[in-house]
Amino acid sequence: MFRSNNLAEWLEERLRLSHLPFYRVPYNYMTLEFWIGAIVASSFMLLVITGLLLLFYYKPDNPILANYELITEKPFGRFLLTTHLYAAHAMIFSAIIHLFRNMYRGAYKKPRELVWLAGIVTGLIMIQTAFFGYSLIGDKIAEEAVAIGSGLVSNSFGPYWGKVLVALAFDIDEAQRYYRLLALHIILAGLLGLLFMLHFGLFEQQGPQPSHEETGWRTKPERIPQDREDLAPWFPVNFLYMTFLGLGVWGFIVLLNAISQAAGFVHQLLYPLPIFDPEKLAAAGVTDPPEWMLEAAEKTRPMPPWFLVYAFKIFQLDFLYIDAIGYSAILIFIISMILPPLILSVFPFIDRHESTHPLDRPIPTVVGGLLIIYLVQLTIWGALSIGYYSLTTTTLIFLVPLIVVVMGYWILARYKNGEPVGAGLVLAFTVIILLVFIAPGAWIVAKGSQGASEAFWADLATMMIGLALAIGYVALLATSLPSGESVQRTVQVGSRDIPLPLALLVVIDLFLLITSVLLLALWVDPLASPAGTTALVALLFLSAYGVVHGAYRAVVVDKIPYTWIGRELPPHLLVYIAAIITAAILV
Amino acid sequence: MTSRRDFLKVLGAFGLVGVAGGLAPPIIRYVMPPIPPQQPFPRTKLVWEDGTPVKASELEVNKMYLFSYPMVNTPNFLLNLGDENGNPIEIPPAELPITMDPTKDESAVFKAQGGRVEIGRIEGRGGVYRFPGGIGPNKSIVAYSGICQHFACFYPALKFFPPGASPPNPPSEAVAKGGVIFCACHGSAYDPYRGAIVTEAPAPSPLPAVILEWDPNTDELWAVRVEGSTITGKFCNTCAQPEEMVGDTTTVKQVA
Repeated sequence: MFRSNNLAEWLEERLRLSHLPFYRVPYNYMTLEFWIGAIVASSFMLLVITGLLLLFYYKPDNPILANYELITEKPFGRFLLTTHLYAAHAMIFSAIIHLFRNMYRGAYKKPRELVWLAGIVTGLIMIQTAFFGYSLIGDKIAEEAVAIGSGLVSNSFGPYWGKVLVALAFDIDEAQRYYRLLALHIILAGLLGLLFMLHFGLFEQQGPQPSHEETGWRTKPERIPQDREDLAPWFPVNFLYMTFLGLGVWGFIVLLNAISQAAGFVHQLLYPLPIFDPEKLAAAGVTDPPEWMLEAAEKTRPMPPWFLVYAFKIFQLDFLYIDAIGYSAILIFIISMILPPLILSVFPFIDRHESTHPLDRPIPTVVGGLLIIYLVQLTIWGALSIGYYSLTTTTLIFLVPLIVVVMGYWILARYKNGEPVGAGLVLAFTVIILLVFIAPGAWIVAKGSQGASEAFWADLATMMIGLALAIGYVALLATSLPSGESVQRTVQVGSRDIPLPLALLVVIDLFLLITSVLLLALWVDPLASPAGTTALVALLFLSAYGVVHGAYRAVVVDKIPYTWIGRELPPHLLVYIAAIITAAILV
Repeated sequence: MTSRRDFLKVLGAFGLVGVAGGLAPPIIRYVMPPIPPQQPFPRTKLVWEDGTPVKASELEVNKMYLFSYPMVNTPNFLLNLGDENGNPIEIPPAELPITMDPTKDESAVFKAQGGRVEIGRIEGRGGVYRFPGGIGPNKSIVAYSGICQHFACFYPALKFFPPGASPPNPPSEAVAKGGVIFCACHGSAYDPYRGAIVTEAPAPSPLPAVILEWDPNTDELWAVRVEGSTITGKFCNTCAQPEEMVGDTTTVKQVA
């Protein structure tokens, strides 16, 4: 009926894609857990594309006017600016997940130490690129970023070197500032691309860390043997997996953006549009800005984007400011910017255990887990409240996860190693957790309603979230315990034919793809309905994702057989949800 | 059912082509810059650099004058055409093709060579426009766009050579005789005595004509509009912001 094989052979003879020197992996590595890095990379690709397009209309001499005109007068301008922001959110968020996953699995171990270090450097440059990126907008948050960044640097590095660094980063002449920020943003983004290639290249030399199910939590073998019989050819299997995953990530990012645009101002950390100061807007030459823009400006208070809120919160812990002339913020700078990457960097060199089991690696598991928990806690704390804090409150808030994770690790590690776990130990653990629950309640009762100010509730919520995260982390560690029965590797049985329902799902996806292409080209007005247009682009990406996923299933059905429709449905469901949301926003 | 497998592979290829093709229209719409609004042609008096009006009788025969019209960055020639002896020549009106190719359009070349006075109707692709001929006391004053219609070279690459003055490296004997507007960039030649039609390729169209008005009572000159092909490099002859248009007066400078 179709003779796609002839075309595939023609291309293969010319392009020799199946001979690309990529590390080959087995079919059972085609799962999301091994592809989180690809989510980061595809977010980065979307950032590069949207960023280069945004460059067409950026004006460093009047960024406020340039961005105002971009989102109100340029077709698809609002789509590009908001998608660039949301892709940055997605990249940073998925990079944190990527880091956590590889930390938890011990993927940094020999011989992948340099992959890990290159990844940390790439991540730091990513944050710095993002910082200059949101400074470029020229809105309220951007101006605060420049002000806070200048203050932190000059208070950390003293009267002379602080000023030198501020001048290098932000320029002293304000009229020249945005030329410099633009250059720095693009240069750092280029550097980020090069570092990503280094990180990926180093990774490719080793291939992914063999799955713990195959090694039984051992560090041997260090690499996936390249003579295994279940290795997938890079082309078309990895290629198609990467393509549909990338399209899915793009679609998901754009869909979240569309929902956020349609929802309006929910919270400034989620708001996708610039938040301009009305007076600055008038000074830039915008005389009658729309009502929603002024409303958003009214509801906004000083706060950086979410990925720097943790540092913003550390800045508020005033007991950390040491009394040294001109260098008062150096401790804060070290705690928020230097210490976390430094701690992560030493993991490969202090963890030389033969096992990759999280309960055999106390320092990475406990310290690394706490780093992530504290990151989340500080972010939520910073978003909930603003103010200066006593050492006691802060210690209480951060002591809770520490106790839970350390005790939880200790009990689980003893249990895993077959050592006796005394009832007293478990009881103490339970009592501590209960105390954390009960003590604040008792304190509220004792102090009466006066004590329960808004800030108090924020502190309490932060402590409880820390407790919940710590318990969740201990529960995650518990899942890695041997279940007692030997794990049966179930051989998948099922159809090696493509059943009709799956083909029909893909046909519906293609129909939605064609619909979104036609609507985007012929019907929709991007200026009258920016959120609807954004949703249509999301549908375009997601339906393409569904269709390419179908092609991937057709290619791998011999190795990953079809079992039942429920397993095939989830990727396509995302397409249909996008279609419903798009229709809801447009109509 | 291998056919169903192949079907899904083909759909996958469609999906990749579809997503790339579907992104193209939005990207083009975004990247397309705004086209400046079309302005009315200004009625502009020609003045010397000291501000005094240009009198038709002050223009020396066969000298080259430049002025900007209708935008500040579109130069034009102002010529008082004459013969080798410096006697002014009456330039007749004509209907000229908006596009023409002297290497292919035999009839255009034939009629252009037919005589300086009797230019007939020359058919060309893209329609015709009316060149009103010379004005002034001797009907010898004309104005043409000073931007070559080939790749937009302008003075000093594009110059008027009076009869008897040969451009350097003339591409043909006809050009060597002078009486041409010649572009040194790629060798295009126009005949200013016949509405600046193309006599030597590669220029694809006559130089647009600036329509002048002459007041016999005061002897003053006005530029009122541009006719013919669109000035090379412009979206339309008056697509510009208002401040980019010349105002009530434009300065005439003698360059040779």
